[in-house]
Amino acid sequence: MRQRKIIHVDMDAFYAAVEQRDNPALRGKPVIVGGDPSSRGVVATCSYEARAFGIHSAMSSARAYQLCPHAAFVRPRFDAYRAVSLQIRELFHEYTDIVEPLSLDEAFLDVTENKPGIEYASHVAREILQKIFQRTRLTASAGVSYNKFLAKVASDVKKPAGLTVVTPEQAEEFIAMMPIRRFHGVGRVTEKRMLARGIVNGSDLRQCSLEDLQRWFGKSGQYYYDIARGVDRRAVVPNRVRKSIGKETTMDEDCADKGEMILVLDKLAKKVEALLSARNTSGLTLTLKVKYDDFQNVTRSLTQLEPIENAETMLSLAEKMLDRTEAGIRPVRLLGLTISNLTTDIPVDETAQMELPFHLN
Amino acid sequence: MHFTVEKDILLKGLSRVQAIVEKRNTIPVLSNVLIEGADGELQLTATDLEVGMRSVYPANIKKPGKITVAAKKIYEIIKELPDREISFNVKENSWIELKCGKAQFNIVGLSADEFPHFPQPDKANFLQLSSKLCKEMIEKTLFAVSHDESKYNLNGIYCCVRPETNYLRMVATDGHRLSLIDKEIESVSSDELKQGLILPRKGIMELKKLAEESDSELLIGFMDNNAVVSKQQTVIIMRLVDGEFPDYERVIPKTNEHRADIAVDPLLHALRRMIILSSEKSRGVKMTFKENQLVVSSSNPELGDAREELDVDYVGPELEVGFNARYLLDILQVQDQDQIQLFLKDHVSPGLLKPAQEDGYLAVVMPMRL
Repeated sequence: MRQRKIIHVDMDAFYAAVEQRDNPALRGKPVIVGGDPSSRGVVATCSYEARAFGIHSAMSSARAYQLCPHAAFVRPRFDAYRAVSLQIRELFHEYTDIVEPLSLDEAFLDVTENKPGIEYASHVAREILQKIFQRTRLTASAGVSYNKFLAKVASDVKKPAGLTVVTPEQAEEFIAMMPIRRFHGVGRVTEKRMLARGIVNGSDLRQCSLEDLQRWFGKSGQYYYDIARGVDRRAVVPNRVRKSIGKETTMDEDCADKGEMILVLDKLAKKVEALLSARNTSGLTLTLKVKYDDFQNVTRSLTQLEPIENAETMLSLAEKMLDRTEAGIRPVRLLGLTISNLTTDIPVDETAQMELPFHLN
Repeated sequence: MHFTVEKDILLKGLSRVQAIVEKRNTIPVLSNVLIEGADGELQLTATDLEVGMRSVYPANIKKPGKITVAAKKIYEIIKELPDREISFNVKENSWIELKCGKAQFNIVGLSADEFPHFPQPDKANFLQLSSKLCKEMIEKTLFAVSHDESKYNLNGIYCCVRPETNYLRMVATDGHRLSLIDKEIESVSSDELKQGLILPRKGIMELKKLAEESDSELLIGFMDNNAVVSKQQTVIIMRLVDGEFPDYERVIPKTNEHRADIAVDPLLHALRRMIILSSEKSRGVKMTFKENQLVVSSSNPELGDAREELDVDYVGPELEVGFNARYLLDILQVQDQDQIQLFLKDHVSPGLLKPAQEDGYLAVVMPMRL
């Protein structure tokens, strides 16, 4: 199989950096985004200034307060983070459509084939980091390698605003020097048990036989064995997301009465509004679809600066667009309304099952 | 080694270890069962390095020793032998000669030296647990354990002892629903349980089987990163899940003000009917609460739709919420009481279920968007 070229992009101290960008008073100061120190909340992200005090994510906010009482505690603003996340994902798609977002601030990109046709993945990564900064005034770090595991570890090497490349030739040495806690999938307990067996870094891990690793760590043994050799066959799997949400209806009889068409559009707008609100989303573009009695289809679109989410707005835009068609002059058999340029990611295979809110404060 | 044993005894012993033996294993000896004979006792051991089991059975040991042999094959053979005494004789080069009536088998064995060490637990610090109680606690939580291997910290049941109490708690969640039970036990001195730990699903299933076998007490203890369970002649050892269980208390709703009192059986049967027309993938049903009435409905564009009305005690505003019917059935099926209470806030917040008479059990289910 051909060698893959994979980039892992990770925004630096993402939530905290957005807060510092949007509020100059927070710049250069320890900023903790997360729960209130008086609550049972935890730190979601903290700025590099706060990390100097030993604060890290997932620590209780109360503990963070003890370590650094003068830090600014900020409640998360997910809308702002999501907006940036959309911006950077759009940027990724200028290079490749094989983008696997891991969270709002982290993604794998497979740039083996990339849209601009750039030969070196490291050049792609460099460009992406520069453009992220130009467009968002935020910094990110990237890791470039031939598999996901190495790319992910590499992105963490020179944080913040760092770029680390691990070529197949460098992989062995890179892994050998790596402390085992940095291996993805080695938690605190496993780390302790590895250290107890004298496994301190990748080189030690590589000395272990598959049998021993399985004996000591069970099923994970195979994984540790592989990654110690730089083997990770997982592909970058793009999260396929819905591009639009809409509804259309075929009239009982072909219709040439614009008033009647507007009544139909009003019903459609209300249905689309319900579909959007059920998914807690909105979109910037509304498209009207008209099918004439001879089955010819036309569409008209309008893009707004503010996200469209309510039926009233949709109807007034739809009426304007209807005037730009021959509806009424020619009889119409079908009308449809669709919202696109969605402001949130809606998975294609939308499992409507919601998640228990373990992560909300 | 040479011993003779009744077919039934050997068959029972071998059938118990079948679930432990790993089907696809890179270490060949792990698909084997270790058979040891000494002092009038036959000892069978199997392990996949995550979960191990050792049981002792009476046998006539003519010459002590040990050997390992493919667990599935030996089980298939013994199952088909006549109901007589079996002679099990280890020959040179680990060949095993089996005789029963007029049937004779020569089977390839593997030296016992290859078999992983099975720790001898020191039972001094073990706590006692009633088999019946243990079985109930597992039954009421096991269904909520995640099957998603990438969520390894949810691939087991979280066990802990409530601070300053003698209440043992078990909690399981897959991120969509959660099941929790508290039961009083005799005494607890285990630091491990005070801190909380995660028992792996496979180990739990073996523990459940052990608890179901008879009413005698279970002994549970911890060593290194393992839980050790023993009952009569059997010891199970399981590697604890290396991960942190999520802060589950945070998702248990505290302010769900709309309460419906529902009879368990009618709801269970209605859901079983409604689930037939729900989408196969999501299993979603709609529950509409009106004054003293619950309407359960489902629809499938390709098949049709269905609805059923139930009398319930409910006085709140009209409320429509979607749930995965499978999740509700899992909960209802393990209830011992006739009535259950469902506490809701709205159609996007977790719903809380509790038996009408407080008995330490609760379940949380996240709704679906329908």
